[in-house]
Amino acid sequence: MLGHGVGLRLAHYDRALAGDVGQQVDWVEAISENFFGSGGGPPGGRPRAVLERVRQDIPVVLHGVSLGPGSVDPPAAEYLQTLRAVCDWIEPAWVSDHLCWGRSGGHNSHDLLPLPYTEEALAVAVRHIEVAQQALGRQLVVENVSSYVSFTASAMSEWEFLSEVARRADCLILLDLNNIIVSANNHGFAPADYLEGIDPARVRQFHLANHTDAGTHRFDDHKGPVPDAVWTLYEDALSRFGPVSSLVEWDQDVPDFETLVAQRNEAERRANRIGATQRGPA
Amino acid sequence: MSPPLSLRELQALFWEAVRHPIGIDAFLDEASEAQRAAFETELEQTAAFSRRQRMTVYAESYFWRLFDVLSDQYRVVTWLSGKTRFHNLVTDFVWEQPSASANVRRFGAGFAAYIAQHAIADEVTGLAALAGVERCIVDALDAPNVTTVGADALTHQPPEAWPTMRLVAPPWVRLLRTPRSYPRLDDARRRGEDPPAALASPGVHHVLIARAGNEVFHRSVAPAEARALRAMLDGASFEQICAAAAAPDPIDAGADAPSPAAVVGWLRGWLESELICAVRSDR
Repeated sequence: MLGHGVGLRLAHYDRALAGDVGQQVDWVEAISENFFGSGGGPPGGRPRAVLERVRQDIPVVLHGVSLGPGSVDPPAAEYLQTLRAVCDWIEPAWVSDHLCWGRSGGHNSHDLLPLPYTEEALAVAVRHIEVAQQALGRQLVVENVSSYVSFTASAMSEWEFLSEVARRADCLILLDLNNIIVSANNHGFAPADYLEGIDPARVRQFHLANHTDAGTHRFDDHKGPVPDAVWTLYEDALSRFGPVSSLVEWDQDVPDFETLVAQRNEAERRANRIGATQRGPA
Repeated sequence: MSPPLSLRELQALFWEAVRHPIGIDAFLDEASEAQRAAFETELEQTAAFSRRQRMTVYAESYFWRLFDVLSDQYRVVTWLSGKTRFHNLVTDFVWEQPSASANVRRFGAGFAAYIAQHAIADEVTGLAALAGVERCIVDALDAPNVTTVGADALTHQPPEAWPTMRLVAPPWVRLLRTPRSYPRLDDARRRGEDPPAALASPGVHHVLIARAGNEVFHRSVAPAEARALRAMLDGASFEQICAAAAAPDPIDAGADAPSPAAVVGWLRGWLESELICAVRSDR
């Protein structure tokens, strides 16, 4: 377990370059594609300097948003080659992305689009995660997404789908607890059922974040501090899964670094209270 | 009743719906009977949150994410265009040139070329050229690192090597010609001024985009220095660079040729601004 970290965002690059970040958090998560250089490898300039400076002090996890393993077309070879080059450069503790789709006809939506929970979608996602794991030479960690649409064709629950993908592809799971709350509200299931349906041995990481109540639905915007409902589910998850690395995401109206670190500290405090504090190899 | 859609068909329907430039309702108005039927039968809904509302969440996220990327990368273009015109421009661009890159930062790579053939180019003087400057600024940010050279690299050259030596620029250095001064417009934007009215007659301005110590910067360049710098970027020898600087100014024929001291001053500035990464001698 890496401990408790935060998502590294542009607003905190100056702090990162000054060497402050590694003093205050156990690890950071960097968006993989933000560190794709124009030449098909790592970037130059400030992004390179920032990530190298942080990596001197603490572990970095690469968190992708464009793999889209559920897209019917396979991940582009160029994409995987670039991600591999970035991995070889920064040596992340692990690499994660989302269980969703995002490409169609050679175009990228830059969104995390929902899948029907069918055998066909399962087979596609498993095949593409295997392709990615082969290209990267490592296990992937896949994350559940927030969703607003579900499909009549679905033949299983989201957690059954996620678990089966992880089992068949032999990958690990990043449980986004905020996304569970958002999707539970939007589709009418119980968050506790979700946790119950996940194999503890597969869970590598938690995400903690906020969302907005839009009236008709909950919207996953990572704006503001982690809400009570997510903290409560985090404690339930710690009780069920034991010590798991946590990470706070805050992407809209990004606060100063101290405010973000306070959220990270709260995650650590709650983990300590529950006794889920064991450190060691991931 | 139609058979359920394959995953490919379902994703194609979803994609066509969320990328429609007017929204989900307009998509359904224009959709085929089969598409409308599939939309109804494939997507779940609840009394409080209809399938149209659910898909609208994705349609809006798709558009506004790309809008935000462009407005962040093309700040002078956004400011000069004005709110409504920029919104319409982005709507057209997102519809006609959906992203081909996995990296959303590269989505706007073709924006300047797109503007050049869009109706807005006739309404806002020099908009495509200014967009080209902003693209170079974005690209310079993470262009591959190379080590730049200091004054030693030149002082070590024997006098007889100077005429034929060539100065090599790092990959992030760009010199662009624009009909309006980008630095002046950017300053006005930063000061919160209203955008200026359209120009009756465009001028000729030169703007340098470069990176020093990981910070990207831009500055106006006077015509004589611009001729010299452009010659350097084109791979000319130092003798040819000096000749380019001394050539008559096509805009201001009466302008004096730069003095040797001025050329030395430029060279010093180019070194300090990290515009040179190698000195090659033809000997």
